[in-house]
Order: sequence, then structure tokens, then C-alpha cells
Amino acid sequence: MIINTEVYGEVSYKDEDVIRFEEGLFGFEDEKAFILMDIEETTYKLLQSTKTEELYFVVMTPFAFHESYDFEVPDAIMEQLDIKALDHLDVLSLVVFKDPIQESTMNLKAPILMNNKTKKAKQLILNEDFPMRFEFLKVEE
Amino acid sequence: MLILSRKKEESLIIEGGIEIKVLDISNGLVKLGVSAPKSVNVYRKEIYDKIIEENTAAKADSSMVFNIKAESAKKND
Repeated sequence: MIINTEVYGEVSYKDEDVIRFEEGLFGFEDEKAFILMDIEETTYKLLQSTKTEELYFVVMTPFAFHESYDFEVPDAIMEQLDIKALDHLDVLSLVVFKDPIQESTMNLKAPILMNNKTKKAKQLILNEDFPMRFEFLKVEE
Repeated sequence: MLILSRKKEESLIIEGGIEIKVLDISNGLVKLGVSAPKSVNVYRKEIYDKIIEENTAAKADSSMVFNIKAESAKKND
């Protein structure tokens, strides 16, 4: 299949590459299918809607940026995503870019959990007290 | 909107196996107990609204992607 994207133009993908959010993302409940692409030469990824050309997010794995980012994934979520082994679970955080870029933030309160085998995914609101706007680029310095 | 009065210890049933019970009322604070199937997520609305706001802010555009590539290239130099 081929979709048109603003960043990469026409992109071809296979059905098994499609990440399925049964409930969409918060505020984007009708957006249930995305593909994930590496943003070349960076550690960021692009989460592109397969339905809406102009809808895409920048995401990245949060663990490198926050030493104590641990949380409990409820059993019901593990079941819903069919996660049988922990290495099938990927965690991604949505990034909001600011100007200057050092003030950019990452949402640690509502990560995306994804089964990297079946590509079932879900955005979760954690009970744990993590910031919605974590300035991850400042910590690095 | 459905408007109902409930006293302490009284509850509401919402179809789908959801029960919301008034556990305590004191000093303008209502303590609720929510029983729901595991597949039903329950959120505090103000947090839920903030997440929607933050997701909306995270919607990217191509200049953003261009900027992060430039920034990463600078860092790798």
C-alpha cells in the first residue's frame, strides 16, 4: 500500500507494518492506524497516520532520558495488547518541539505502549506521577 | 445531562458493569468508589483534558521534522 506523507512524500508499507490503536489516541479517537518510520540520523521516529496525510507525531523511546522512569502496566493492558513476553513491549513517548529546541518536552504521563510483534498499540494515562512536559533535552547537558 | 441526587453509601449503575458509589462527603469533597470491568479505563477529567491538549500540541509539521534533523546533525558533529 502507498500513502502520501508531508515529510517523506509517497511511502509504501505493508499491512503487517500498520500499528493499530483500537481506541485511537486521546483527542484523535478516529485515528486507529499509523506507521512508524525512523527519522534518519536521529533517534526520533515519525508516527504517521495512514488515514490523514497531515497527521503525524514525533515519538521516541523515553528510557534514555529519565533514569527512574518505571511504571506498572496493568494486566488488563498486557492482555489487550496480547503481550506475552516483555521484549514484545515497546514504549514510545510523544514529543512536543519548542523554540528554542532545548525547551522541547516529552510526555511521560501518557506513553504509547506497543506490541512490536502484533503491532497492537494503546496510549495509556499512567497513575504514576510523571510529567506531561518533561524537558528531556535540558537533562542531557 | 442526567441529574441525580445520591446520599452517602448510595450508588449508580451504568450499563456495562460499572458502579459508582458515594463513599464519603465532607468539606466540599466527594469521595467516589468506581467499580468497572478491567477493560474500562477511568480518568480524572482534568488530567484527561490535559492529555488531549498535549497530544494536540504534539501534532507535528514538516518544519519541525526538519529542525530536529538539523539539531541532531549539530549534536553529532
